Amino acid sequence: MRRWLALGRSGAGAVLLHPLRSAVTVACVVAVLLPYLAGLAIAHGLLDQARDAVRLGPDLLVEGVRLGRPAPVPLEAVATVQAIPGVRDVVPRIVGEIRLGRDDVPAVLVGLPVDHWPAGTTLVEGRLPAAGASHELVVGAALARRLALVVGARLPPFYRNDAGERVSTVVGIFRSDLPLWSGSLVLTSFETAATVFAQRGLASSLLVTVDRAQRDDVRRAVGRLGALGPDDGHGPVRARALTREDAAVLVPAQVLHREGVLTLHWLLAFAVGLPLVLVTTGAGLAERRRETALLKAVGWGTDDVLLRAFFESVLLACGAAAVAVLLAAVWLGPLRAAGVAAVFLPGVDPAPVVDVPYRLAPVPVLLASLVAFVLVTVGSLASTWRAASVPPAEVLR
Amino acid sequence: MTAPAALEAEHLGKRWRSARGDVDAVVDVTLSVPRGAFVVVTGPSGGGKTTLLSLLVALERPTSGRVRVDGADLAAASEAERSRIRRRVGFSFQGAPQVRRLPVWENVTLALVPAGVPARERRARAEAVLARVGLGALVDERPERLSGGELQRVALARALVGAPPLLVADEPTASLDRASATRVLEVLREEHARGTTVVVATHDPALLALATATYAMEAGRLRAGASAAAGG
Repeated sequence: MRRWLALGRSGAGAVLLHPLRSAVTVACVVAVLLPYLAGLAIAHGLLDQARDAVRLGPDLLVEGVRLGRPAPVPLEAVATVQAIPGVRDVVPRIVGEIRLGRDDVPAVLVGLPVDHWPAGTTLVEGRLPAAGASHELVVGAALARRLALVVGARLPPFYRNDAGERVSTVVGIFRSDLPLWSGSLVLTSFETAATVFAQRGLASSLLVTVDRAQRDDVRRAVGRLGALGPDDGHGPVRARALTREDAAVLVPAQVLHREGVLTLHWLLAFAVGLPLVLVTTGAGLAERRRETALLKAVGWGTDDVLLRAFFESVLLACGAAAVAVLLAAVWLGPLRAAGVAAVFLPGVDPAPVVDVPYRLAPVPVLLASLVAFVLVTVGSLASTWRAASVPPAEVLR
Repeated sequence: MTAPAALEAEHLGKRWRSARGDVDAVVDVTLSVPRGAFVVVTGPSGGGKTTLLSLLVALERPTSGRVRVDGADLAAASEAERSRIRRRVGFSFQGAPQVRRLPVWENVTLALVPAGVPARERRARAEAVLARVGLGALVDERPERLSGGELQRVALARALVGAPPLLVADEPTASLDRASATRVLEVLREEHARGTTVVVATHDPALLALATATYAMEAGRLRAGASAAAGG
């Protein structure tokens, strides 16, 4: 035990004996680990948010399908679905993309009946759109910051359709630090959204609340519904109901797919990183060979020298993993995942203006530490073993 | 039954390959160093003294012949056994290689690390042995700040720190002024008086006075008696 402790101390000292080599090795390992850690943290953050959204969402989401493709739902369907036994509430919703400001900043406009505002919407300032008032908007704090919007600000027309175009007024700003999508969200009344998107008499989907015990019956009943509303000549619109479980399966799939792609890229980086670290751990090799030869000459065995290099590698790997985790936290937090966010969030700027969700989960961090250890140990032990295999006098001569 | 010699070499040879062709650095050397002896090997530079010492303490593999340290055949020994044998031999290198960034006391006690000797005890032993060679004030100094003569004495201190039964020193007084050389001679004399077997390669005639046996090494061949190059 005392031998191990002494060799461990000597290995720890070796980290400082070769500061350049140690720094280069840590830098190489961090370069390999950092993008992977950041990417996985975003994937986990998005998954968490997706699961939360599903958990807090409606019991059933009813969408329209025409000839197998998504289609708007005629508002007549609200009454039809409401009439199904077990249904407690049906809320029509319109969702669409708009572009705001001189820079065409993308935002998502959500229109809901003013008496069905989503629970948990916390206003920082102002009020919600009033019943009967038109073109009143509530914007997320991040979006307001980016577009320099304040309560009372008037937005020039950002759409044009058969109904013309109108100036909108910001009446409130809501807190948007947490859910990613709320960062670029604009809430308004159902009627205003219908005007903006020229979707009179239509909704993007229906949010349905049901008696829990009857949920499957309601779902089957929705599936059996015939055409929703009158045929407009393009074919009948039929209903498709998604439960929370369906959504839970569908929503993370995309995130997990991107996580898989990231892992694949990372494996590639790992394959490149391994020889890189092998080379860098050879940095200062001449001095290291001389040191190893001296240790062997004074009676150290090859196993002693390798054990010392092993302890040195453990320290370097722990240091590299800790630095990678720390930098990942800074990258994802204050720097808002600049550069890597777009991999997971199509449409997001390379330097996002909203906070990107992330969670540095323990398993990827441990995995990263393990990989750092393997990278450093393989490189370090290989070069040390090579040095230890040469007769000491040959090196010291 | 008599105890084996401290050091034995039988028909020892070492051939180097170089750009100029093969060079025989050590040729058919047979030598027996009894326990407690003080052997001095003299000879001109390039005569093969350093190579011979490297072969005797298992730092180099011979091309032919065999070496026994305390009866243990180095040729038959595994790598681990060779390491164990090196631990029983104190070897003071010519050129005095050091680990640059380690303080002197840690350089001196490198051999004690795998034995698990605690740092405090290692430092105490280093202080004692450095004081013996006149470097008590340089315990915490870095080797890169020492002169050649001081480094030579650090190397001798490292050879002595484990109190080995066999001490082998290559030119231990080569870079030293007279006062320092006298101190080193005194240390070697004390070690010999304590029963340590000492083998020294040197040009210094002063060491011959301590010898119980002298050899001359020239063109790789060893013969009994000091060479003229030793000045004695």
